[in-house]
Amino acid sequence: MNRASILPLALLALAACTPDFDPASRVEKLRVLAVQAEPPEIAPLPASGAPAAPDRAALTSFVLRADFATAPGRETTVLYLACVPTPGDPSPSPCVLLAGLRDPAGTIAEAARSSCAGPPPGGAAAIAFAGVEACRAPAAGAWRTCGAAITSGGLTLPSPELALPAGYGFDALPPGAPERILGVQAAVLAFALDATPDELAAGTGACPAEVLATRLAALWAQRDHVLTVKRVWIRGPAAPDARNVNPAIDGIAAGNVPLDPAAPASLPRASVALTPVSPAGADALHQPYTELDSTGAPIRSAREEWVYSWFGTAGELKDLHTRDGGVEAWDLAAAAGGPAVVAAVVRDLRGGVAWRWAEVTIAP
Amino acid sequence: MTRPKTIAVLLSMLAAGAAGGEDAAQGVLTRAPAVIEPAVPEYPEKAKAQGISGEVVLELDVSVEGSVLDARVVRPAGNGFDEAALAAARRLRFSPAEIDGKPSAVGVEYRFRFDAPPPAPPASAVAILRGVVVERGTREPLAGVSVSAGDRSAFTDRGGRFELADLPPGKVKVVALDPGHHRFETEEALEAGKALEVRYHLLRSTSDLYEAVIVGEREKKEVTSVTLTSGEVTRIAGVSGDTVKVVQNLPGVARAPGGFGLLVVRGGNPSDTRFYIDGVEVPLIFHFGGLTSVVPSDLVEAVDFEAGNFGVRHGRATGGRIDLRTRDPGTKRLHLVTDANLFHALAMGEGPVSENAAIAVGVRRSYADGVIRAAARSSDDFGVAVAPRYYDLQGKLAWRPTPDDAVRLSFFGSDDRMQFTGVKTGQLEDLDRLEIGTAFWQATASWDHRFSDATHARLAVAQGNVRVSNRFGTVGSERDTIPVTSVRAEGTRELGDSFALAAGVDSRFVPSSSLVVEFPEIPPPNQLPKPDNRKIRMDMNLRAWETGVWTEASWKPVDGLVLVPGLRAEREVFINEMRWLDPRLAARWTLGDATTLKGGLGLYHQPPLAVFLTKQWGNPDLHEEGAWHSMVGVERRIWGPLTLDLQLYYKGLFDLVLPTNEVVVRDGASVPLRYTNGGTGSSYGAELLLRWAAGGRFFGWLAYSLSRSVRDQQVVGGTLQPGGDAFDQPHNVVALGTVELPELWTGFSAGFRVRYSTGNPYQPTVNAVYDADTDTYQPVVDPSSRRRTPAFFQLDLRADKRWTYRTWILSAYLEVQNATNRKNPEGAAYNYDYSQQGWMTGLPLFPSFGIRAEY
Repeated sequence: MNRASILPLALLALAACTPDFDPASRVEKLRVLAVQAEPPEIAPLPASGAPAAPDRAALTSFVLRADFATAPGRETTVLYLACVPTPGDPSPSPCVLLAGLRDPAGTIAEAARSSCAGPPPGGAAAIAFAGVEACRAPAAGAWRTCGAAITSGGLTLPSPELALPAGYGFDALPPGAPERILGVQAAVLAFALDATPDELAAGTGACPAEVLATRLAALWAQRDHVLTVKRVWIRGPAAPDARNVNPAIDGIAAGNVPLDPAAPASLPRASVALTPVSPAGADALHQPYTELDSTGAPIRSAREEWVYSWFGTAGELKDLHTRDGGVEAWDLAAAAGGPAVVAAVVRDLRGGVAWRWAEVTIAP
Repeated sequence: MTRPKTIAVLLSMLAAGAAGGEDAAQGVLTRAPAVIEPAVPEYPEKAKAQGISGEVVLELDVSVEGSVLDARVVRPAGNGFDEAALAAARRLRFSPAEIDGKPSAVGVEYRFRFDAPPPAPPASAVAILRGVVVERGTREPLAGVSVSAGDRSAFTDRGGRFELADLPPGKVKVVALDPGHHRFETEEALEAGKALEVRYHLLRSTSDLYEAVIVGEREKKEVTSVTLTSGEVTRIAGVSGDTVKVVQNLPGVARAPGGFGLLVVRGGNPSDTRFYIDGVEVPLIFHFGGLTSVVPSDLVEAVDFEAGNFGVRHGRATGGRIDLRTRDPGTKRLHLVTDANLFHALAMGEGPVSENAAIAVGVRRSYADGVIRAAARSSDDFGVAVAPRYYDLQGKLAWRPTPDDAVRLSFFGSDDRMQFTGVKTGQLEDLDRLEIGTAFWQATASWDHRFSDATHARLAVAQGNVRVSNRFGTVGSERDTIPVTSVRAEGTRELGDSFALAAGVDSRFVPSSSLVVEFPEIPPPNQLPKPDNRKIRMDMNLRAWETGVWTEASWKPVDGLVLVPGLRAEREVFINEMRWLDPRLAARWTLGDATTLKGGLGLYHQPPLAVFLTKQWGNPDLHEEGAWHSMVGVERRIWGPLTLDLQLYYKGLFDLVLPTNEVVVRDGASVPLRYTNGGTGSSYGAELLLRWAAGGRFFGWLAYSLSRSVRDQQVVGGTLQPGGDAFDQPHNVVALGTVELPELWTGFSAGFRVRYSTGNPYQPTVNAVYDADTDTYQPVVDPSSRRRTPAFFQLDLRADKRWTYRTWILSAYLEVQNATNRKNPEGAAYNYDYSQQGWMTGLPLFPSFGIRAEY
């Protein structure tokens, strides 16, 4: 009848002194600030009737570099791997095992091998290649920073996508299984590397995935890189709520004036109040949902609360996160004059995400 | 009526042979016996009528307890004096003598002198001086004090009273002498035909006012036990007088981060060590998990700490054992204490209820909540609904209805609570409410009975209740109510001079408890944690019990050797059922005067933490964890109060609960196994304790532990507390001491504590993964790779000053922890993406003070 307590260590964490590191809101190198799955929730195709959700989701990352404004042509390539769990199998996903994450090159190689070899009999590969995209400073007005990865030779690499294998479903589960209500989570790994598609596609091989994997693995340790994990819900057949959709954000306002992504605004070297610009009817986009426990039993009804993460390539942002109705303070007093980028990522805390960014000019 | 004058003089000490069936040890007399109950012999009428004086010299056999077992006349005086002296001698009572620091039977020479009374002067021509002698400050009556006025003298009785009759009127110098107190002198003016009532206050010459004098301690059988008295505890630098935290300064205990009360004993997990108050287990020993212990030092007589190889009287722990022994309330006078320091204030009172019963009541409350509330008003990061505060309550009634019985009723209660609102976590979700609340109380009734010198029994029944109320925003909550009934019964019988047998039962019952818990799953090991904190809910009404039956023998096959084999059988019923058998053996071999060799070997088991047994978060098929303890050592009294204790130990750990990613089929479905009893490990080392015992101007010790703590399997995550190997500190040195400096300032003492330990191991981060769902980076560690934080060093200083007034005492102390302001790294700290590493450092220079008043 002993009792354990983590409280002493928690109290120590409160009482101890920690170094003064740079905040996460400051973008000073290659960063991945979000990964979106559209839609954020997918479902197996039913044998008959309308599907509750598509059986595949398009994937894209929000990649931001500190030299975004000054070196817009510099490219980052993002390679995706996906792990789709088998409903009813509690084994851990290889995409989240620390042993594999300690060895990204080995993980990529294994995924490439299984992709090239094809799915095993009667099932899907535990980890599979899921596409590539290239990221650069986008055209003015575009919110996406990543798009199709096209080599100089005109080869378009497969776009990133998470697709459920044919025949995937929950039918094998017993009637009362919680997964029928809760669904299961697929995991996606995004390997963002400071390299062009040309660099990754160079080489020969029978299987393009293997070529990409080999090149990426070789460059991974030598170049700036970020490894990201993203989960995608696979909806269960008895899910109680409407399927989740990504939240929405139309832009960023500084001092209540929307920043025009096509025409960088000039901002003074002072503190600026930032707020997200929500689309009309945004309140209605805050979906109601049922909070469920681990058995699928309802706990309470709730409504989405969106959380905004703020990032900038200059100045100091007061808070990393704000909530609906919150205001961010961007202190540019000590910032160097010149171009800078500010970004806001909105999450609905249920797997949905969206973002906007804006380029500004800080007065000298 | 005139009183014959007698002078009893302690002539000399003899180290005698066997006397009254008790062995008197050879050795150095470290504490001479002193008369605490004098006896005035009847002056023989025949001699009085003839005006004859005489002197009788007796040889007395004094027992370990201080009673006179036998008396013999060595120099007779005849005329009835011998018989009178023998009769009076048997009424004498001494404080126990100590040979080599241990209570011992001794032989003494004692003289009674009978002076023929002078012709009685006219009543109106003489004066009487009578009164009481008490200790200055404590008002404690002092027995056996020699009070002389002119050429008359007397000893005070048990109540401190004396009377000197037939004194000539006029001014007379009065002197009071006692070995433990400063000489007292005054002048009184006596009037013929009148009695003068006086009250004298003697100032104690040693400062250990509440040093526990352990009278009649049973012969030591334990091999790893260290006992600290409350007198030692209260003035040790760096622990603010906390009884249990002092244990952290002994060998075998790893240094806890931040000065918190975690007790990691010989490489075990913090939860492997069990805590007792007066032999009855308590669920919590610290406020807020480690801030300060729940029993104030004022009520603690001593702390027994066993780092391992403890006997079969206790079980259900593979680590160590800590027992706070509370003292019985004082029976002689009212005693009031109020004490305030940086953290809390205490009020306590004790006093006699009757001649053989006394009661003590105390209450303590923290007041840091006021400071925190003020800080919260100026902070955006959190609000305060209930600032962290704790209080505790104690009461004890001790009653001795007969010399063979002691009945004790005690009560302990503790309540910790805090509630913050709007706590910013720096994550996507803040905590709308952070609430921590733990309360427990326990009432104990115990009865000690001595059937005979050879047979003793003890029965203790306790009823307690634990309430937990925690909430961590929308992440989880816990509401528990757990009533616990404990029963301990034991009996001991000596079968001859060399053999004793003891047996007992030790049970705890939870007839019905309410556990309402909502928490996400414990993150599985070796994986990234899941972002969705989907709650597992448990609403359980649980019954549980654990019973241990034990038997132990104490056998002395040859002089100086004691073998203590024992066997303990245990049955636990809690979610599942576990049984085990623990055989143990301890041996002590006393060589010569000052050296004892010791060794122990034993098997120890404990149930897994309750949460690991639940089907919701754990594995109900787990069974008990185990450890083999082995040790050899030597104790040696080097000189007087300086002792050495050296131990080598090895612990083999097995069946440890280990997180796993395995999957098992249960009830037809594949489910995660979560935990297995697949862990093994070991802990080994050497411990040295060089100790200068309290009782003089200086006390202190040097503790050095050379140790390793190893776990054979490496997992990342999946546990609720760091394992013992997280505190693997190969070198751990503590040196502390307190010295009285009356030359500088009367009542002044100063203390220091120096600590050095190897840094704790940690697993360096290999890389980090950005979790796009939580907008955080998750570290990826290599469990097979280890580094260490830099070594720890800290100096703490303390100064105490006591002002002793006639009827009360005022004390104050100033303590500076980390006097060198060293930034001791306590753990690795990383930036947001783990690309930069620094150190999380502990508390900087930290002064604190306290003030205390006693009546």
